[in-house]
Amino acid sequence: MKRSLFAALFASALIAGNYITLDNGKVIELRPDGTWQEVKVIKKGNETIAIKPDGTWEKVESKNIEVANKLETNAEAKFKDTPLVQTLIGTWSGDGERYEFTKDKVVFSVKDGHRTKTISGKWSVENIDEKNKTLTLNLAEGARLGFLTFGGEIRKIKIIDDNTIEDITGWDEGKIVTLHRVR
Amino acid sequence: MKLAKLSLAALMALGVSAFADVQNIKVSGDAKLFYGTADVDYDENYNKIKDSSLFGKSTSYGQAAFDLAATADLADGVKGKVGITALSTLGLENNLVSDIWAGGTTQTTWWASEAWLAKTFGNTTVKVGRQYLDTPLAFSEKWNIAANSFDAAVVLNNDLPQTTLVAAWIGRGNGAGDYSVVRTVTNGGDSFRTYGSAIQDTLQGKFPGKNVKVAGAYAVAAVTKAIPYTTAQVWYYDVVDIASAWWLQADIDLKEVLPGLTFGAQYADINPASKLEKELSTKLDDAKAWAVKLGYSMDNLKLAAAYSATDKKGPVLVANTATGLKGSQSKLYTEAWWNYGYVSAPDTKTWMVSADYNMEGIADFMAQYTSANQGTTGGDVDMQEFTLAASKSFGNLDTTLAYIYTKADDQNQKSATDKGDGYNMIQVYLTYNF
Repeated sequence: MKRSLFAALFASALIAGNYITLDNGKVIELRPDGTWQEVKVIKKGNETIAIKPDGTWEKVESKNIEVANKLETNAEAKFKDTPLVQTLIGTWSGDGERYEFTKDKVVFSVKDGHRTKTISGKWSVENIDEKNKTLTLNLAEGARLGFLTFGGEIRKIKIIDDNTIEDITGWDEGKIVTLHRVR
Repeated sequence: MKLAKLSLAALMALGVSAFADVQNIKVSGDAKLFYGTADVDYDENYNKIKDSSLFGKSTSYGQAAFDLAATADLADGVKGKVGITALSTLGLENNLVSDIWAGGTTQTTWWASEAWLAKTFGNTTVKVGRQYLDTPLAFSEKWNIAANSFDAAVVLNNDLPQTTLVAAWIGRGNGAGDYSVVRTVTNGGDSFRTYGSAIQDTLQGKFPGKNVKVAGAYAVAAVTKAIPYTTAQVWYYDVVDIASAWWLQADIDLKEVLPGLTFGAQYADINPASKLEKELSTKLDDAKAWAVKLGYSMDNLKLAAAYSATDKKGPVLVANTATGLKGSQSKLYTEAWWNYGYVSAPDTKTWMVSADYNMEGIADFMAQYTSANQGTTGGDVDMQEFTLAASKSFGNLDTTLAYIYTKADDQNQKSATDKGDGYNMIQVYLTYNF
């Protein structure tokens, strides 16, 4: 009895602090039985308290609430290290369009009539045509169900040189936009 | 029962195999809410407007739109897209507004705005079906809450180095004049008409009792970057039985002179068809225009100054032929931000200056001043417009706030003989992308 009580206390000490903040700001608790639950974290004076869905609560050290590491899927990482794709990293501007590429994120804005359409989020390379130096990019995809994707945009970029790219997405509408690197 | 189950399984298998060649389906769209209000005192029939202050119901206009589209890679390298657009006032006309942005009706309408297939053979791409176009004299106007589209076939070829050759046939379109941009019909009717019908509407208004025929349009073009630092384009149009037209344009990058400096020149000539002249029993002059533009861009700042002039007796605007002859947007460098149909009108000299500035982390700002001065041969209608706009995105929500000051001889008039007074306008554009 004494041994099992000690084991339970030891386990709870291990479990305490198994809280993770997700990308969307929500906090979850990873439970030892392999399940998880969302908890509400509040401040009471100097103490941080996690309120659980079953009505119980627990004091937690705020420093023990980890921030979830960003996950980079194979699809997102695909082709990212190729020289052609590496050329894209940076800011590009021209003729009403602007791209800001970092390794993980893109902000794309384009004049669309009287408004500026902006798309931001993760980006991935769907295809590379090395011969024509053309990249097919999937920007800010919202969700993916197999070959069905929601949200975001597919853009086609042709690399001209280190300082010049062409957005040929609207090629079949007779529209090619030349962008230059912004330093 | 067993047979029925088997049939169902077979049907499902058939369905899966039928879609097995469909890849990379992307579903996306947007929802828009546009609002505008002005302190204009007189309507177009010179009647005093009762509640003419900013945000008053009588002088405000608003509408919502919904776009949903899916693209997919189909079998044998064919790409396809289908899209629908819906317009609704959401009942705003009951409380807040008295006019709409597009479509000409307060009823909810929807239509297939895109439905095309495209296939590339080597350096040649063929795109057939309902699509948006962006050519100098026949294009989809995207300033409004909904854009016009075309039933067309377009062939693009890239065999010549740094050159795109274009051949297009345009059968039908849903373009409409008088700033409406799109023609809509309710009760499931077809809003697309033979290309040229928007011009036909206006011409028959000008020449009552005449039967102006329309039969679609053809266009061929060459766009080349083969000349160093230059993008040159030549377009030829044949709007069957109505007019033929040329559009020449060269945009030169003068970075050898000064990095960021650009120069552009345009020339257009719309020549009315002899068949049309015969039908109208009138000899019509060509509508001609030329324009030049000097631009400079540095980091987040972009400046431009442009000048244009149109021929004295042109019978039509040097503007989009897809949306008729009144209020059509023009691709001339000097085109105003809001008041279309002035810069491109006959006997008009226009100058325009603009500045765009991207204040990182704050917003994109734009200012433009346009002054169009028309000679007495054209009708002596002058127009000055000053616009200030700020755009910012909040996640997936794009917002634009615009202020427009307009002083046009034919707007806000007390009587037909009076020159119109200036007035202010505020517009809000909200677009949620998904």
